[in-house]
Amino acid sequence: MNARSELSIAGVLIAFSLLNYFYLIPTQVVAEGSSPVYPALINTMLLCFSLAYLGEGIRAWRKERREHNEARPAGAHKDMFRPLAMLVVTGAWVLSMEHLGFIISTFGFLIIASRIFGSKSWTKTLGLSVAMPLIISFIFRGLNALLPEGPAEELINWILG
Amino acid sequence: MGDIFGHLWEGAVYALSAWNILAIIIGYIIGIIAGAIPGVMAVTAMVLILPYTFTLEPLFAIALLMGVYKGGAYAGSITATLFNIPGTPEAAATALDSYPMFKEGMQKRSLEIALWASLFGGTVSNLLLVFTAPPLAEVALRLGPPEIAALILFSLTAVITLLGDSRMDIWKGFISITMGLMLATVGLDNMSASRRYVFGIEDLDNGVPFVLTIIALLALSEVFIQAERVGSFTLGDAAGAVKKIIPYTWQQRWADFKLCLKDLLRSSFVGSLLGALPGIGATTAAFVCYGEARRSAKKNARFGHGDPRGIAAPEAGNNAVAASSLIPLVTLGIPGSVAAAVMYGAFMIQGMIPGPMLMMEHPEIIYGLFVLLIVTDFLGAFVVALPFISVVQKIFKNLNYSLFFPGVVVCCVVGVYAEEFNVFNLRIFLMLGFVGYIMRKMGMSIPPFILAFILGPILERNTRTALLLSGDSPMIFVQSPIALGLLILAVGALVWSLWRKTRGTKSALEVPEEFKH
Repeated sequence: MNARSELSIAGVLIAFSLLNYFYLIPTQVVAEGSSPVYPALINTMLLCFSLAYLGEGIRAWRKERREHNEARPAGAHKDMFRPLAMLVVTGAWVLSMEHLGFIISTFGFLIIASRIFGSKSWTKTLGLSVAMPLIISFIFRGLNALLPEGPAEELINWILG
Repeated sequence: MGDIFGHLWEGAVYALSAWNILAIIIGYIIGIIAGAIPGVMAVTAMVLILPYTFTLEPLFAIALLMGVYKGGAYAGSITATLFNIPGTPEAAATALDSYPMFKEGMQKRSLEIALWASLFGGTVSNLLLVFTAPPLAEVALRLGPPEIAALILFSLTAVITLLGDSRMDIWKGFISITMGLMLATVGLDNMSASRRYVFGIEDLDNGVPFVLTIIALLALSEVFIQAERVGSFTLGDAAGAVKKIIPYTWQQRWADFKLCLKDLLRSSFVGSLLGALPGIGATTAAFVCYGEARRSAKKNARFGHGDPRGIAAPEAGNNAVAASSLIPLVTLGIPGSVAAAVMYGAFMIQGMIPGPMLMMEHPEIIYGLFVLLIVTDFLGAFVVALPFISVVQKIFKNLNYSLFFPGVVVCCVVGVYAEEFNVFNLRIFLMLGFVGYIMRKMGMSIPPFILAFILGPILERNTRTALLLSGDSPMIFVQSPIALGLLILAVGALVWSLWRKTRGTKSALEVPEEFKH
């Protein structure tokens, strides 16, 4: 990470601790009838450490400017594409689980996620995507603990009577 | 001393059942597989298993996790030897000599030395745990709220000052700790039962669940990190480097044992000592032990080219950390490492709080745990690891990462859902997983965050109780000599660490940059 990024993060942390002091602690702690002492103490620690971090960031930034080597990591945004895609796909899976049920949503998730991770074999991907949700679903059924249900679970219930 | 043996016997009677032994074997197999896979730590496997331990018998669950823990501690050396890719960061020191030995066709010798050294280091450390824990627990029982609060502060400070590479890292570590403490305040106030930071959401009244947090921050964030590195592991190429396999004879085994004995003993004690201190971890111990073995060897030693001592020393050292890192947990109730934190979670899930009270009131459980630890090393080595060595290369050469990591996400989500059968928890889980990923991208360490999150409620309860006892006077922390000493140590550790970074002084505990985590 370059110094500019460190400075931005320190700025965000300081802004958050100020928000905590002046908005979150009064509305989410004091207004609910709880003592503000301990949350305020931790918040003060966060503010102090963030200021120290900011100070280090400024030193590093000055050093970078002196040495004219403010390096920007190449391809940083490209690196984040797959993690972000995984986050979106996992989020969509979690949200769809309530409506589609565990088996169908997990089947879809595994197909897309394994492609994100660079899977080239459709046979293996399909094998995992079908087998894993079914095995987990049957284990939970055996333990009398139900996962979110949808059309596939209803079909299995109907088959099993 | 007689008491200890008596309790050990009681513990053995209580813990050594066929089911618990089966749990150890299953756990060791899982640990050895997880620990050997580059990018997946044994602690990740422990975290994945944790939510499923709700329905298990207490000792079965603990034995299972212990097997994973110990199996993972050894397993990193497998891929380090066969592919020159350490399965765990601590195995990086082992790879310096085990891979050259493998390239000369001595794969069996290399893997066996690592195994015997792990067994040796683990056993010495187990015995130290057994004999030091009871007196320490008695001392711990005399500690009051100000001392416990000071002890927790010291532990958290020690974690940071020893992990940091630069002053920037030290401040980031402290920010990580305060964020962990903040997250621990979400939910009902543990003194007045009023709500804090819940934003009107009733699901948050009980706070952010521990298991969910630990899985999100360790396992899910790791999957996001691995998503960046798609295609970077090429195990097959390195494995092709060996020409022919040379058998390992009994005479050679005996000669290697005699050659390594001094290093095994020294590394086992050094590893145990470093493991008992919060936050140092197995990676540092492995490199310190490797460095010591190399320093004390004669000039004609083959370090870096396949010297058996270069495998035995780091392996004994890093495995010695595994048991001794449980000393703060069982004596003080303070987890000193992430793996100990997961064990803490397993105890809590079973309705037990580890610490001096549990040791005094239910010694059979704690001594049962000690017996299981000792048995795990032997069972793991002889029943699981030795047969596993012969098939291991084939397994890891064919591992499909593109299917493995999505499978891990499914296990995580199902584990989190199974904890409370609540879809809302999955949303928090996803959010925390991404927060963990961003923190890692920002260079912030996750273990201090987790330790602070676990210790936060204990720190708050003891700080507020101490203040109540003193009529809101913070002087209570200075009036107690133990609390004062610990606070001075905490501040001293911070000042020393900052001074060291300013002067650019290299510590004996330095770990090569590429192996830091």
